[in-house]
Amino acid sequence: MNKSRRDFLKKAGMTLLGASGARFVILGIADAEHLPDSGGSGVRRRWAIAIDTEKCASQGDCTACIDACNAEHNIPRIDNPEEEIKWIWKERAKAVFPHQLGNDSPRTLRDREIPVLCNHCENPPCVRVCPTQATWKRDDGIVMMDQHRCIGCRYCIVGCPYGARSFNFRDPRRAIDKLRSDYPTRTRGVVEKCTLCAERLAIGAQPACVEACEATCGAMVFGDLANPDSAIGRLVRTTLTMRRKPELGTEPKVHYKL
Amino acid sequence: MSTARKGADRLFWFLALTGLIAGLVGLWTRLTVGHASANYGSYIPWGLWVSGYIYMIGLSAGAFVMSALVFVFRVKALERIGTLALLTALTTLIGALLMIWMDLGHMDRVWRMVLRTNFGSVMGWMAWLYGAYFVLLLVEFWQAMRLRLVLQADAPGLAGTLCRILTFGNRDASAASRRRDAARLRILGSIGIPLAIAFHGSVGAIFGVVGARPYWNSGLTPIIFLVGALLSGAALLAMVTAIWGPGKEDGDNTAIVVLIGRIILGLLAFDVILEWAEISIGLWSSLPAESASLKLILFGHYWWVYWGVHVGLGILLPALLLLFAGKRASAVGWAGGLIAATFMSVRLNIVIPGLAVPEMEGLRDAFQGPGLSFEYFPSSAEWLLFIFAVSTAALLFLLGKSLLPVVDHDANPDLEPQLQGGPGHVQ
Ligand code: SF4
Ligand code: SF4
Repeated sequence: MNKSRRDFLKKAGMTLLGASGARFVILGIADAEHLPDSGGSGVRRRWAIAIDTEKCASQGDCTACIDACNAEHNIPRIDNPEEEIKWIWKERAKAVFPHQLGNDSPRTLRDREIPVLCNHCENPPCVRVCPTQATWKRDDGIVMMDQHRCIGCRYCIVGCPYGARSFNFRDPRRAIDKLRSDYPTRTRGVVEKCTLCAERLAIGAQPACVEACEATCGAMVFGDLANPDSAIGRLVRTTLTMRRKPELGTEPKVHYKL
Repeated sequence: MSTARKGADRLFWFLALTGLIAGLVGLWTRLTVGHASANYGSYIPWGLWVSGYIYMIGLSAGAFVMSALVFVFRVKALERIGTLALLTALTTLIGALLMIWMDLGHMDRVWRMVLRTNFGSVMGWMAWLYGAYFVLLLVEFWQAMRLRLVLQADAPGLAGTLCRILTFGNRDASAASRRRDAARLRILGSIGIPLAIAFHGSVGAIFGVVGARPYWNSGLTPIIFLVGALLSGAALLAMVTAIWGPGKEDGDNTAIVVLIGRIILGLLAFDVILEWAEISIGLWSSLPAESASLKLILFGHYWWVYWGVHVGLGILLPALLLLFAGKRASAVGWAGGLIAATFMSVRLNIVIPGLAVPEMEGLRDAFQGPGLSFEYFPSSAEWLLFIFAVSTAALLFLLGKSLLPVVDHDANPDLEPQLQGGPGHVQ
C-alpha cells in the first residue's frame, strides 16, 4: 500500500474513530508504527507471541490472560463447552503437543496447563477455505476476521487444525458479563477468534493477554519476529521453542518454551 | 397405472405432505433459534444438514448424468426418461440448496458467496458452479419439455393452462423445430456433464483439501464423491422410473428399468472397489490419524450405520436383487430405492467421523472423556429440518410430474423425432 493511500486511510479511520468514539472502526486500517520491537527497517512485520510454559505453570491456576482477553473483547460467558466462545484458553500440554509429549514424558510437563490461542499462521488454512473473504491475513501477519462478512458456513472451523475458532450458536450479547461499549459485539451465526488485539496494536499497546501476563509472571513475550533485535526475536533464536503441528506447514506464530 | 404403482404414488404423496408439515416445525425452530437447536458444536461443526446437502446434491448430479445419456449420447433405450431424469435432477438440486442455505449461520448473507467470492476457496468456486448448473438445468429442462408443452397446450384444465403459459408463446412443433431442440439439448447436456462433474467433484474437494482432517485429506475423496453421486442418482432414477416412468402399458418400462438396473450394478461394483481401497489403505497404513476415523465408522458407537444400513441395505440386498431378479422392474425399483435412501448413511459417514477425531486431543477429553466415540447424534430439530428439505424436493417432483407432461404414458410417435435425425444415434 503506498504512503499517501495509507495516510488517507489512517486519517479516515481516525475521523471515524472521533465521530463514533469507538476504537473498532480503525480495525485493519491503522498501521502500528510505534509498536514494541517494530524496528522501523521497512521489513514486513511478523507479530508473534512466545510463551514460557514453565513460568506460566508456576502461577498455578492463573487465568489473568484469559480474563483480560474476555473483558477486552466482549466475549460471552457460555458454560456449555460445545458452544463456548474461546479466544484464548488453557489446555493440558499433552493435548497441545500430542506427538511431542508421550506417555513417558515427565508427568509435570504432560499435565502442565498452557494457554492456547489462534496461531496467526503464516500459511493459514482458515483464510484459504473461507468462501467470502471474511477472514484474511494482513501484511503484518495477523489473521483477521470481519464478522459482517461472515456467512457462518463454519468451513474455517473445519479447516483450522488448532480448534482456534468458535461459532456463535446463540446470541452472544445476552451472555456478556460486562459490556464494553468501545468494542463491537457479535451476532448469532458468525465465527470469531483471537485477532491478536489488532485494535490495541493500532494505538501502540500490547495485546491484552500479554499485558495482563506481564503484570503477573511475564511468561508471554510479544513482538516482531522480523526484527532480530526484538525481545521475541532474540528469545526464539536462542531458545528451543516448539510450535503446534509443524508438520502441516501452517507455520504458527505462537511459540512455546516447554 | 397398476395397483402397486398407484399405491406407491399415494404413499409418496402422503410421505411428502406429512414430511412437509412436520418439517415446518423444524423450519420454524431454525428460523427462530438458529443453530442453538442443533446438536453439533465447536467440536463437530458440521452435522446432519451438511450431510443432507451432499446427499441430495449427489442425487442431482447422478440423475443429471443419466439424462445426458439421452440428450448427449442419444441412448435410444433410455430416451423416454430423459425429461424424468432432468426433473429428478432439478428437484433434488433445489432440496440440496435449500438444505445448505439453512445450514448457514447467516442465511441473509448468502449473496456474499457469489458477489464477494474468495476464488482461492473451493467453496467459493462451488457457489458459482451451482449457480451455473441451476440455470443450465432450468434451461435444459424447458428445452427438453418444449415440444411436449406445445403438444399439450390446448388440453383443457390446469395442466393445459400451465403448458400454454410455459411455452412462452413458442408453439412451433415443426420437424425443423424438433431438430433444433435436439441439437440445443445436446449442447446443453454437453456443457452440463463437465459442470456436474466439476461441481460434485468440488463438493468432494471441499472435504479433500482439509489438511486438518486426515480422513478426508486424500486425492481419492472427490472421486469417491463422484462415483457415489452417479450411483445414488441412477438408483433414485431406477425407483422413479419403476413407479412413475413411461411405458408401463407397452412393456417399455421394464426394458428401461432393467437397463438402469444394469448400470446401477456396474456403478455399485465400482463404488465398492473404491470403498475397499479407501478402507484397506487407511487401516493397513495404520496411521492413527486416519485409521481412527475408519475404526469409528466400522467399529464405533454407530457401527450399525455402516454394517447394517450401508452394507446390508445399501449394498448386499440391492446387489442380490439386481443379480437374481434384475429382469423384474419392481425388483430393480426396490434395489434403486434402497440404494438411494441408504446413501444418506454414506454421506453421514463421510462428514461426521472426519470431524469426530478432534484436531486437538484435549477437546476430546474435555467433551466426553478419554476414548473415541462420536457423540454427535442429530437433534429432533435437525431431523425435522432435514425432512422439510427432502419433502420439499419430493413434493416439487410429484407436482412436476403430475402437472407437466414429463412422462409420455403411451409411446407417443409425435415425440420421437425429437431425438432422431441427429448424428451419433445409439440404438
Ligand atoms: S490457528 Fe487456526 S484460526 Fe488461527 S490462523 Fe491458524 S488456521 Fe487460522
Ligand atoms: S464461517 Fe465465516 S469466516 Fe468461517 S469460512 Fe465461513 S464465512 Fe468464512
